[in-house]
Amino acid sequence: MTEYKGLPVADDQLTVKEDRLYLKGYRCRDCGHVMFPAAELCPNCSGERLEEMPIGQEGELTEYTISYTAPEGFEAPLVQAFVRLKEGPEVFALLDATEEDMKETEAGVSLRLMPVIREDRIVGWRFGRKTGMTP
Amino acid sequence: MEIRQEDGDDAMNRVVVAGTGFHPFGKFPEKSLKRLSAAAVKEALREAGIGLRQIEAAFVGNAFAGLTTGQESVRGQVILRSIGLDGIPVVNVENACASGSTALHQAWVSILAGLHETVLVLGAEKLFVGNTARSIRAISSAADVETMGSRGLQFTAIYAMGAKQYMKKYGATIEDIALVAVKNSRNGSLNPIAQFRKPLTVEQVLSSRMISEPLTLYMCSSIADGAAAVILMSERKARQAGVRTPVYIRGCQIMSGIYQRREGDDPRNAVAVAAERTYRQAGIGPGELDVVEVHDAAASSEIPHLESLGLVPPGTGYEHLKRGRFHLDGDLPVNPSGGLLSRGHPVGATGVAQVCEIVLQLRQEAGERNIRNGKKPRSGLCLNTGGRVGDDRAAIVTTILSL
Repeated sequence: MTEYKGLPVADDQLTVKEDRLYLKGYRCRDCGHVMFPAAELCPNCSGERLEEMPIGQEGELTEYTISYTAPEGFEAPLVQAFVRLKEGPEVFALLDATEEDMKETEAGVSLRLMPVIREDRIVGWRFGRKTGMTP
Repeated sequence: MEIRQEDGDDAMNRVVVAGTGFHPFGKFPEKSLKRLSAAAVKEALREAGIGLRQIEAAFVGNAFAGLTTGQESVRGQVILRSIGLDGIPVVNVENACASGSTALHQAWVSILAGLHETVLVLGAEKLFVGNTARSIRAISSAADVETMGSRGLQFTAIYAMGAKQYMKKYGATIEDIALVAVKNSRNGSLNPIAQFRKPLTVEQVLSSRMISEPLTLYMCSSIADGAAAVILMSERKARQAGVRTPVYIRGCQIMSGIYQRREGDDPRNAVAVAAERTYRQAGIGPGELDVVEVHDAAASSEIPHLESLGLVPPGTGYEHLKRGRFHLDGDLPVNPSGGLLSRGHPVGATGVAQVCEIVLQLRQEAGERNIRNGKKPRSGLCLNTGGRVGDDRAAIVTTILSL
């Protein structure tokens, strides 16, 4: 589970519910399709009745790569990944992991959402290994 | 696949590529977008045998000048004014790495619609602006910035992950992928406009710096400056102008991605759908193609593209490559220009450059890199893709040309 730590959230794509951090997903009330990021119409059934749904606390690693160059504001090496969320959508994410960690990490491993904290504010997210984490 | 041509094949509406032109691709810190473009346009006009005033409309593809140079909104008009062209419709086209081919598509449509008979298509890009971080950031903006583009994503990482998935699924090796870079470097070494003209060995490709594992430096396309232009004409105009070897656009399709149908995973992926629509439109099937240019933004993307295009069965592409089928002397040469890897990838220019290469190949005017398999080429295809939204490319353009 991902603790929210009570810090203010400065990222439009994140939301907090009962002290837990989530990605701001949406669910179609007509067909149940779950999406991330937000959509205005359901891509599955064109339904208009979409509701916000906190998602993405847990996911599974689809694939990753270690990049040895990094864009402005990031530091190489950078573990870039796609994560299949438990609720369905697949998202791009950086992993909170070193090159060494990735030697024992395979596609399919369970991951959990983690906040990126800068100057006491939550400014983004990463995913990290689930095992051995608290609480 | 059985190919039945759709109707609408009226001589007035047939579109000819009457002229091609380039500014070489590479690093030209002293040259502006205007100067790069002027060289390409002048050459295309010369080849088509017409003057500036015969151009009735212009479609200008560029992806990143807004972010790299600050020039937004009216890039086409600004460029064209610098070469003395005004008083015509100018359409600015932006569609990530497929900007150039999207401009071509729109120009083609304008002739098919009967609006114009002589149209300029220009693709141009300026990425060496003395600030590599700015250029890299601009490129990342070709993905949804809310969820990817400004969250650390790099396009090489997307290609690297795709390569790993393909390797696991089909048992391809990194040496196999290196062979694509080797082939394209040899082709590029024969191309006077190519950014990289040094033929590479497998060892050199594999031992170059790791960029995004498993892809090394020589397996990734680089940033570049450059421009490419074509003059399109109605068949009637081309006849009047005395175009020597008319090459026709037989079909051109533009698509967004189809989400949750990833290439390499799903045979109904967006590249396959675009290709099938183009084959039907052209009345030319994959078995009739003599030469292709595909979007090898990374060495690992060439073979999956050939599989999506229906040129070889899924999972078999590297076997065909190793048998030499895709070399200049093979039965289906792929990226004779050197591709994005060696000719270079000045983003907005790439799609137009692919079309220029196929035209030169069909006219057998590509000099040392004319395909040499004993057949006279009649038909070719270009695949230009761009951007990233969700789990797919954002833009896909397939174009079939023939004599």
